Amino acid sequence: MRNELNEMEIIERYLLNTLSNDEKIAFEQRLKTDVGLQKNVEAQALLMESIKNKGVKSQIKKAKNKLKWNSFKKWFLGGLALVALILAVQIYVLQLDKNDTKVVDLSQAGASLANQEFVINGNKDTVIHTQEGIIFVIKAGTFLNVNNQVVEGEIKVNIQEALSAQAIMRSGLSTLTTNGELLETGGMFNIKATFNQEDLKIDPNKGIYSQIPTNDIKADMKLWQGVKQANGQILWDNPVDLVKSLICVDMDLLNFYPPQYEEKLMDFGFPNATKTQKDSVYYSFATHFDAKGRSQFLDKDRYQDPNAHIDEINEYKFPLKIGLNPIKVKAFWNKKFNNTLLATREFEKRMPVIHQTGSSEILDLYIQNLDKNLWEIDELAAQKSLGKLAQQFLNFASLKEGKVDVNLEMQLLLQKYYIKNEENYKNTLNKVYDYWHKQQKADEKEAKMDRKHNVNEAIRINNNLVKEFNDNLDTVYKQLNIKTINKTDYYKVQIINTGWHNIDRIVLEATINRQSTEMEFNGKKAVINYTKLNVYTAKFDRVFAYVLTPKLPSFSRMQNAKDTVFTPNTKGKSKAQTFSSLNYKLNDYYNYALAVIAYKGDSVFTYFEENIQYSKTTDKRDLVMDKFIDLQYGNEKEFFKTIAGFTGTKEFKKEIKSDVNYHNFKHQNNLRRIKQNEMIAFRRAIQEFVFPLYYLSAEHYLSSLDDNLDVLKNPFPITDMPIVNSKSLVMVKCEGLEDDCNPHTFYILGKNGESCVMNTDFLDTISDIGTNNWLLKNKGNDYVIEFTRDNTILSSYALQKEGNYWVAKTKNRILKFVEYDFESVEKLSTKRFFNGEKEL
Amino acid sequence: MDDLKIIELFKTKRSDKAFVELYKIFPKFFVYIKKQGGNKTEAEDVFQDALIVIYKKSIDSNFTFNSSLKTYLFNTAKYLWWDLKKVEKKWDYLDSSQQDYLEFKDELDEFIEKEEKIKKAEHVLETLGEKCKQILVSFYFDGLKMIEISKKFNYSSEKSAKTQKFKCLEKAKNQLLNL
Repeated sequence: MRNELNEMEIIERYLLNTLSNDEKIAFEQRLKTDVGLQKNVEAQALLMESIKNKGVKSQIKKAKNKLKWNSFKKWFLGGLALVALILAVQIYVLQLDKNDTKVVDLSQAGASLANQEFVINGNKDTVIHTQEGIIFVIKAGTFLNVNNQVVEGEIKVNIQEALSAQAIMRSGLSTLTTNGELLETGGMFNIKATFNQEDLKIDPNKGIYSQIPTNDIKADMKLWQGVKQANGQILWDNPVDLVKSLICVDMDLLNFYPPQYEEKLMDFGFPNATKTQKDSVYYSFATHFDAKGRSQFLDKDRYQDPNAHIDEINEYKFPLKIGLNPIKVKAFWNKKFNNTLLATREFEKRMPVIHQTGSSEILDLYIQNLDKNLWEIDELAAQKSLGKLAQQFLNFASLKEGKVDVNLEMQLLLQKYYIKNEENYKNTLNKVYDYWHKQQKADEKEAKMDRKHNVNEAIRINNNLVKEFNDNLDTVYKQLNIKTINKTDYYKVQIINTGWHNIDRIVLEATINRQSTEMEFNGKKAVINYTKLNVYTAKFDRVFAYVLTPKLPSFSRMQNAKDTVFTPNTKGKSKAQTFSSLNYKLNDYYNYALAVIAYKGDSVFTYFEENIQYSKTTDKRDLVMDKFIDLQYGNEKEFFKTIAGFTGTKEFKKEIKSDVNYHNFKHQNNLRRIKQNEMIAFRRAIQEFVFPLYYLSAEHYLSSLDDNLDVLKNPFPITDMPIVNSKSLVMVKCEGLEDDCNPHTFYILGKNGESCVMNTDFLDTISDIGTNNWLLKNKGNDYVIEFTRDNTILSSYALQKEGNYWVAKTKNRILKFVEYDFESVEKLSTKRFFNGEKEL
Repeated sequence: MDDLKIIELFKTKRSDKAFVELYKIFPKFFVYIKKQGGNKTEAEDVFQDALIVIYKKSIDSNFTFNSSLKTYLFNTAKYLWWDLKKVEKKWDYLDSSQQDYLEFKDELDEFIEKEEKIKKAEHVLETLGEKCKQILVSFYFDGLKMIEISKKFNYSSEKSAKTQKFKCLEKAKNQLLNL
C-alpha cells in the first residue's frame, strides 16, 4: 500500500486500540507535535463514528419497516380497514407467492367466494342484506342498460363478498393500487347486475347505498374501483370518498341512557328492571332542574338524626343541577322521531359523549339540525365543548357520517312536537313530587306525635314519682316512728327542692334512682326496697310490658333490654333459646300487675298477671326476680279491658292504649323511614351515573370534606385549606408537554386569597413529577398561579380572561381553566372539588 | 422484552431485534411530536437519533440507567426534539423521573455537539460509491474480518480488500478535511 494508506492503517489501529505499547507511545509522541496528523486522526475517528452510525441507522430503518409490516399484518388479520370494489368486471387476481408471481383467475378462486343471487324488481326500492351483513339500498330505476335506459322487471343481482381477512386471503384478491401501493381493506365486494343475461350498469345519479359492517370505522376509508389490467390482474383505482348515508332503526332498538346507567341500576339492586321502570327512575331526575324538586334534597335539617354518622347526614344533599335534563332525552326517544338522524346507530354512539358534556345546548344541536349531515353537527358540538370532549366530537366528525333525508315540513313538525313533548313531560313529574310531599307530611306528623308523646310521658313519670316519693316517705316515717307532719304540706313539695329534711332527701334519691336504701334516725332503722323484675318472653316483632298499681296515678313501662340466651332446664329439652327481655325495678311496697302485649306480624299476643309483690320487710335487700312468661294469642280489646278491670278506672286503660298506639305508629314510621333512606341512598348513588359529567369525578357527588381531603392526600394541614367560595376553577385544557399536562388539577380559591393546593403526587399519571405543585391564588377578582417545587415558588403567572377561559401562559404550557359555579358550593361551604380526568 | 435483554442484544451484535422492540414506542412519541406541531419526518429523524444514543449507551459497559430503557429513549427523543426546535432550557420539558438527571443532560449535549460533526462525515460518506460504503460498514459496524470482507465482495486477496478499504476511507477523509 501507499504510504498514505499505511499511515491510515496506523491511525486506525490507534483508534481501535490495537497498537502495541511501543507503537502507541511512539504514535502519541508524534501526535503531540504533528498538527497534520492530529487533523487526520480526528477526521478518521469521525468517519469511523459516522460509518457506525450509518450501520445503526440502516438497522433502525429495517426495524421500522419490519414493524410497519407487523402492524399491517395485525391489522390485516384483524380485518379492520378499507373498502374496495367494483362493478361487473371479470375479476382476475394477483396472488403473491413466495418467489414467483402468478395470475389466478377468480372464476376458480371464486369457488370460495359464494355467489349470492338476488332477484329484484327494477321498479321498486329494494334493500338487500348479504350473508356477511352488507346492506345495499337499491332505489327503483337504478340499473341502466347499454343504452342508458332504466331497466324494469326482474333483475338478477349477483354479489360476491370477502369481508374477513381469511376470505380475502383465500380468494387471493390483492390490495394493490394502480400506483403500486398496498391498501388497507375493510372488505371487498363485487356486485353485478344482469337483465336477460345482459350486463347492466348503475345510474350514477342514483347510486347504490351500501353499508359494510365493521368493528372499527376508519375515517379515511374510500371506495376503490377494480381495474382490470392487460395481464388480467385487478388493480385498484379511482378512489372516491364513501358516502355514508345513515340508516334509521326503530327508536325501540336504540339506547340513549347515560353510559353505565343500566349497568349501575343492576348493581344497585334492580337486576330485572323493565324499560318502563328504568325510564321512570331516569326521568325522575328531571326534578333536579327545578327549585321545587331540588328543595327536598337541599333542606339541611331534613334528615338530621342525632345518632347518624356525619356522612349520613350529608348524604344526598348535593343534587346536581348541571347535566342533561332527562326530560330532553325523553322528548325525542320515541317513535315520532323514527326516520330521523336521531333514530340511527350513529347518533346513539354520540349520546354517551353528549351525556358527559351535560350540555342541553349540544343535544339541541342534533335535535334542531335534523336536516344536516351528522358530521357537520359534530363539528358544531366540538366548538361548544372543551378538551377531550371536543376531541371526541372531532373524531366523530372525521367519520364523515351523513344524514337522513327528512323533508322540511316534517322537520318543522318534529321540532314543534319536541318542544311540546318537553313541556308535557315536565308535568308528569308530579308523581315524584307527590312522593316527596307525602314523605314530608309523614315527617311532620311524626314530629307532632313525638312531641305529644314526650310531653305526656314526662307528666306521667313526674306524677308517678311524686306519689311514689310520698308513699315511700310515709313508710319510712312509719318505720322510724315519726308522726307524719302535715300531709297536705308535703304533697305540695317540689320534688327538686330536697334540702329541707335529711330523711326526705335520702328517700327522694332512693325513689328517683329506684334503689333499695337503708337509713337510721334516732337509733331506728328504716328501709325502702326495690326488686328488679326481669321478664323474659319468646321472640316477637315488638313487645311492650307494663307494670301497674292502683296506688300510683299511672302505669310504668318496662325497659326493653338486650335479648338473652338461656338454656332452660325443662325436662328433656336443653336447647338454648333466645328471649326478649324487659326489666323494671318494682317497689316492694306496692302490689303490681304485669300486663304484656306483643306483636308478630298482624297477630297480637297478651299476658296479664296480678299480685306481683314481695312481702314487706324491714331488712334492706336487692332482689332480682326472673319471670318467664308465655304470651297467649289474643286481641288488643280484651287486653285493655283486663287492664281497666284491674285498676277499676278508665285512666290506665286509656293511657296504656295511647302508649301502645304511639309505639305501633313509630314502628310503621320506621319502616317508612327505612324505605325513604333507601330511596335517598339509591338516588344519591345513581345520580352520578344519570349525570355522568366528564369534568366531575365521583367525589363531586358526595359532600364530605374529610373524605375529599383524605383522597387528596394533601400534604398541608387542614387549617391551611381555605373555605371554598362559589368560584371554582377547573383546568380543562393544557397545551404543552403531554406527560404532565393532562388536566387533573385545579383549584378552588379561598375568599381571602388563601391558596388551595393540590399535590400532584396524588395523580398517578404524573406521579413522576414528584413534589411539584400548582398553587392557584385568588387576588381580588383575578387569579394567580404559582408553580412550586419542594415548597419553593419557582414561578408565578397571572391568569388572563380569554373568552370563557382563564388562561395561564407559563414557560412551557398554556393552561386553560373554566370557572365552574356549583350552586351547592354555597350550600355547603366546606365542599371542595378536585378533578381527575375520567376515561371516556 | 426486558431492558437487560435489549442491552444484551445490542452487545451481541443482534441490534436488529432490539431496535424492533424499541421502535414500538415511536407511535407514542409521534403523538407527542404532533401535539408540538411537528411532522412525521421530523419525529422519525429525532427518534432515530435517540435510538443511536441508546445504542451507543447500551454497548458502553459503564452504562447504567435508573428509569426504564424506553423512558430513557422517550426522554432522549424529546430532548433532541426540543434541541432541534432550538428551544432553550429544553431540560424543563423532561420529567424529573429521569433520575440520572445532570449526567444524562451532559451526555445528550455532548451527543448533540458531536452529532453535528458526524452528520458532516455522513454526508461525505454518502458521496462514496455503494461498494465502498458497504465495505466500510461491514468492517467498522458489522465487525467483519478483512478476510471475510474479501470473500463477500469478491476480492482476490485479503490485502487487496484492505487496500480498497483504505482507499475508500482516504477519499472520504480528504473530502472531509477540505470542507
